[in-house]
Amino acid sequence: MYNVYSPHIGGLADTVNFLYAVKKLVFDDKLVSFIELIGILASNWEGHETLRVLARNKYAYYGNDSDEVDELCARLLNDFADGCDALNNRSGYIFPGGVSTFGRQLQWSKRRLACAHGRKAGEVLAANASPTPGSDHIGATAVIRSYCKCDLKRVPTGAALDIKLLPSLVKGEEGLDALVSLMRGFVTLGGFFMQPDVVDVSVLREAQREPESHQNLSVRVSGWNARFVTLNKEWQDMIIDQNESGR
Amino acid sequence: MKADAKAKLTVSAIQRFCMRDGPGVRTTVFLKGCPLRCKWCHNPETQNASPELLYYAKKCLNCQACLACEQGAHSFSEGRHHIDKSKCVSCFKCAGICPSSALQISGKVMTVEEICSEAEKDLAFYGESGGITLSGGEPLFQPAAVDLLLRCREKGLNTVLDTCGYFPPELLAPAVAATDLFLWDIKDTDDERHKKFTGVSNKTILENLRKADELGAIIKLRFILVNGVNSDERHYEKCAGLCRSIRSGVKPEVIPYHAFGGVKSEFLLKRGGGRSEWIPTEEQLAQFREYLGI
Ligand code: SF4
Ligand code: SF4
Repeated sequence: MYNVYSPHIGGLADTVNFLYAVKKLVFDDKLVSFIELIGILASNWEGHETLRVLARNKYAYYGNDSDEVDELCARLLNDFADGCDALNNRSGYIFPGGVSTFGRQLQWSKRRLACAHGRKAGEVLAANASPTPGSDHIGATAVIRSYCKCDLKRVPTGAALDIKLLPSLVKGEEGLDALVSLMRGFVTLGGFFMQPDVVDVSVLREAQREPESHQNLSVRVSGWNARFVTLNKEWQDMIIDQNESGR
Repeated sequence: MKADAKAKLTVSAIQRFCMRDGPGVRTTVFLKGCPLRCKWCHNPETQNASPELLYYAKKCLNCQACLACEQGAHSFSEGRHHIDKSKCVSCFKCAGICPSSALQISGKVMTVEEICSEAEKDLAFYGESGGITLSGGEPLFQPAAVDLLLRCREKGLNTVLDTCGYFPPELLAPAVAATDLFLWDIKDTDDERHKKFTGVSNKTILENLRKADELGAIIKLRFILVNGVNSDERHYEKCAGLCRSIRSGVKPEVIPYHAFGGVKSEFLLKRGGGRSEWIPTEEQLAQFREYLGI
């Protein structure tokens, strides 16, 4: 018999992206000194909108299948697991770790400060082990690949990955194939906790109102693709219409 | 024939997890350059073979960093950003500086091997049927596309070629040898209209199609339906005849015109745009499909 106490962390992607942004902005691209950056973040990017947009747009963050940042994520998760292991057998407990937020990222957002990856104070950050909202630009397979570069056996109590899919992608036989392929690939790569979620057309409407947090939303028609938020209203309406009518 | 893995190709975009460009999950490579100029083109950024500047007005912060352009192509008056594309010499300095990615480059030169490695990233998702699709533009506008197909074959990737059928006949045999499935787009069976709306005759296209079929290519015909342009029964009838003449017997498909290409013209700072009167009606689609027996 043994007792289990499972420590979970949240904000994984944001911690990783924050560190990565510091690496890029301060050390690689030398756009700002570390001290300056800390000052800018303390004042919530006030007066530094251009730098903020650059930090947000120019770098490939966790979820884009880019080794440079994904390695950081794998390392962070490993370090956390080492920390958990070190606690094992204390007062007869074992400490298997995990990653989860399960909706609490909404509650937490109110107290969030500005982040180096171009986020302002109060923005909703990453859910579970998923990418920071709006920062994954390549699609579901790239998100899965980024995530599966972590040694997931080291977080045995689960690190959920949320995958959001548009209704037009999962409709019909083809859509079923898409889901099956995603899950099969996920398991092949070593994943074991995925939550696929078919988003509602209302997400497209929301993206019309708040383009900033929906930069990643890409819409596809056979042989054609565009980032939703770059389209003007007329085109956006057409796409909403298409997803609604399920054509 | 062995692939030249170092051959270079100009790529407009690589999209992963595509479900509609052939069987299964696919990585679609959009190659630059096309010999046709279809008035309804939905990827106009791929027509031109060389890299070019794209501008996403909605992302622009008006930060004026792009004034660094030595050609004076960017200007600002009353807080509005104006770009004079005739002054642009495609040095892409501004795209490198722009903090918001409002300015981007369509067209990146990559080697066959680099493109292959991109496609291999999603191997775990391809399963039995998925793989790589070459699209564009007209992929064979750049002859090295054949090397890409061959290299993918060598690596065991399933290959699909989305073609308009207009390319030098000498590319046909090597392309057929390295391609698992052709998506062959037919715009119009009426040659006069074909010339008027795409800029070229359909003779080469139909001749290549016949030869590809003879060489044993597996071909899926895709008919573009544009209301008021090719929405007549004579055309439907001839398309049905084409289907009967193809030996591989893959179920053809009708692709209704959609106006989305217009939005990309905006990004290219070109006029033009979608024409809603070209969108076919449900009845037209149904009638065409009936002719094709699908
Ligand atoms: S690509 Fe070069 S020439 Fe063209 S607008 Fe940008 S900086 Fe000027
Ligand atoms: S650099 Fe980019 S964001 Fe700044 S004004 Fe030019 S296009 Fe707009």
